Amino acid sequence: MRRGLGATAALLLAAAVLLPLWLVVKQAVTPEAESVAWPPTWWPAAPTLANFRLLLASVELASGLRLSLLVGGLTVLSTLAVSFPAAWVAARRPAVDRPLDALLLLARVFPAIALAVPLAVLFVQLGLYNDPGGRGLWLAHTLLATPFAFFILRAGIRRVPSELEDAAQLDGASRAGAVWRVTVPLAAPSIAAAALLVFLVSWDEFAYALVLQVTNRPLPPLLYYFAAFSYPGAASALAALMLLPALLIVALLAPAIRAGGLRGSGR
Amino acid sequence: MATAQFARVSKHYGAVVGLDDFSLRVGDGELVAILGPSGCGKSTLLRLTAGLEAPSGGEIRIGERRIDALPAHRRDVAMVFQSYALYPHLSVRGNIEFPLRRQGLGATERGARLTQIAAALDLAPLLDRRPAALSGGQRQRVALARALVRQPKLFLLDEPLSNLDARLRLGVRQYLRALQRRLHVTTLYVTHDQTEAMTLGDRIVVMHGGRIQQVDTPDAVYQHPANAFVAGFVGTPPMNLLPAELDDDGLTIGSARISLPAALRPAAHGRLQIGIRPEAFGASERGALPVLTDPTTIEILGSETLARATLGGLPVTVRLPGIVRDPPPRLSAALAALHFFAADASGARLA
Amino acid sequence: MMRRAACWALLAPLIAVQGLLLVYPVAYAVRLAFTDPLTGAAPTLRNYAQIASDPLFWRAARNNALLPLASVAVELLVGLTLALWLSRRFRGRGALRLLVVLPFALPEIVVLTMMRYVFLPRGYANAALLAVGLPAVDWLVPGSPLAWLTVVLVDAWHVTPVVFLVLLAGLAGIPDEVGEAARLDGAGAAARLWYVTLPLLRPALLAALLLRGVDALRLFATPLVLTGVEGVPVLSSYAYHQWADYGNDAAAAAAASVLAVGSVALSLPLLRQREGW
Repeated sequence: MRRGLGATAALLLAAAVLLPLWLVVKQAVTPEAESVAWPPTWWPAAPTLANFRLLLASVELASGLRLSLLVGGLTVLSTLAVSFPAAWVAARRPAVDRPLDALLLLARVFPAIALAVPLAVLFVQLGLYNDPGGRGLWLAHTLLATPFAFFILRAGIRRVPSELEDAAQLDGASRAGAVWRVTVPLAAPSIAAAALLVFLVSWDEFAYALVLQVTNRPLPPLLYYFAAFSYPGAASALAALMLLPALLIVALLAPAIRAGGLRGSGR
Repeated sequence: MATAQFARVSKHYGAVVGLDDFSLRVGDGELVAILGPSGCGKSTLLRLTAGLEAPSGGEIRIGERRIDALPAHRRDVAMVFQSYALYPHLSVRGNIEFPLRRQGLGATERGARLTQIAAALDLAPLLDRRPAALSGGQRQRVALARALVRQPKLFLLDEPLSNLDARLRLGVRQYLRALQRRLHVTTLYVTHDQTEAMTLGDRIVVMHGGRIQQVDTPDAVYQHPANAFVAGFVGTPPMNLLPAELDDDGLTIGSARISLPAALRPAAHGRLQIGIRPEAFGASERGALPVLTDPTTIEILGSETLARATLGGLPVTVRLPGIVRDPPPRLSAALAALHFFAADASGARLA
Repeated sequence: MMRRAACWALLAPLIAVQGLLLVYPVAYAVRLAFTDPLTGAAPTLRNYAQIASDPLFWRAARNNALLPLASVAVELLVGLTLALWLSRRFRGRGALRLLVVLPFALPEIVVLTMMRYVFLPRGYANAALLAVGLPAVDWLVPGSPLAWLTVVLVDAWHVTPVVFLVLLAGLAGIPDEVGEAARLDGAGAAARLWYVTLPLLRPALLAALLLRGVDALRLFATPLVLTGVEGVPVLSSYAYHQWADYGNDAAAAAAASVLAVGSVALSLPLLRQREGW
């Protein structure tokens, strides 16, 4: 009886999570004509890669993908560069920790649109609005991602005893050298996790991208545009494409999630 | 190797005194033990010497070179941390070579130094292991090797034995002493354990509340404690300290009156503290300082027996050699065993 | 030994980024909101008067208050149920945990695009209803309670994993002995849940509530993508609408300021709790 209940619940859960995912994949490999037919099919009658071919041939995708990767990559670099020194000071200096913590939590709760609109007006003046190189969006994403990186890095650095840095200095390393040779390698897992998360934040981000890149669109607003103008085939193919990094991340984090030990990654 | 000199070094954290007016000269190759309870300033002294914190005032010199304003990595000072602070991501070899690489030594020279120190500290079979795969004693030897391999001018040890289990401690203590002698390296050894300080130190600096209480050889610290704090801190069990009153006729301790020959009288009058070591008492009934033992409270430790007793009604601890199941009801100590200290907060020794 | 100056030098980049990109736009938006866009007169409440006379603004404000409440309630209920279930020990628990967390890993816009195809009039939800003999439903009719509910459910589908993870970690922190002691004291399953587990889980529940509550106020893409601006308006999409469709920077800034003040005020307990999420 009890077992039956558990199995039913597991089945329902799997359906609720996987069915919508399956539908994206299905639509991506279904000819567009079939996708708009009524009633919709649950299984592709004649699977095809035509949607992907069409998508990959489009100029929008090429420039969107380039922009998303570029902004994501730059955001990872700038966010880590800005966050690591501050996280180190916060981890080693409790007096600095509190006010910094408050500043970053505030940044974290601030509504994106409330910032995106004035940023757009500001970027128009600076010539960064709708920038083909995504420089304006890069700045906005750095702002957005810094708190995530900071909190993860601070936790990672706190786990490295400050005595190891002391020891390295007595062993002849400068303070910066001690951090570089001892703290950075020991905090490497946290740095990697922060980089991964920051990339994902940028890759997934919709509101700033929608406002700041009106025609030079990275992937999220491009998908919105495809879907709004009812290209279900292209939209689903793009959605499926955008799932890939996300699924990769889940695969990487899977052991931690299975153990129930994942904290501090909320966004 | 070199001497180390501290001249009026102090460290304040806001209103809190970490170290106050610390002056000391450590001779070439000398091992000075810094002894005191936690919070006495001994760790602050090490951190100031190492360059991990900046002093509020005073000068520190190694040889003729003033180092107190230099960053840690330019001081040529090595330290063994209480937790050992081994680099967990490096092998034993990587840990020991770390300071050599920072000095920019070539591979040949590094290899030679590594082989030499590994042989001296029995580390040769462990070189490729990570610290996590070592026992406590092995980690400690790696920490020593890392500190000594670059032949520092001054060697600092921060409670190096406190993370070892009791059985290992004795062996490592003797080993440390022999090693330090052999390498003839000027050393500051911080500890709260008086046995370590007594057995290892050429001299002992007893500290309390950020201030030096006494600087002396181990036997002088034991035999002539400079004040009541040192008397109460050094010795197991500690010296008995009792309030007393001194007048022209003699000494009043609780309800006991004791006449004091002029030769033993301190140059003081009125209220003071007397001190008597527990081991000063013997079975002789004729000593000048009689105590009554309480046979219900004896503690037999094997090599010695501790008993509670009263002197003029005031409680004292008595230490007798060997196993004594039935201590004699009366014991006594010679008057010469008395120490006199001021009754005020300084507790200074009265000559 | 770290000099104050060195300390500040290391903090400077972060403070500059946060300062320039957060404080400056906010200050700019405040000025914009209180300046008459036509005459340049300042300060004026003209922009606030303008949005206050717009019924869409009031619908957005009401939705922005009620949607987070409903959404967070659903997430806490579902998240707690799942966390309690998956904190038990049984085979396959790890895989089920992965399944629960999966939606949160997906890009928001992908989730919404997907869900749009599910809830469109000729979408999969209606196909499923037809297949079991029920009539089709208009899920996303602008302004309808059903559209409102759909937004809540889709949002919950995406972010319940956050609540789940926080509560799962909280449950892991409760020692088994406590439950065992309660069992020996004669407490049944319901009593153990009510008198032992839930009180001990309070900090985690509170953390999840605050974290999600603050996030839910910023709701933007879900109602926008599913229903368009006027379907289920919220303050973020209203501000976006004023800016993108009318080019009215000042009204957008005024609407955004209402939301910003609300979010920051509600996030103060989170700041006080200061846990680094």
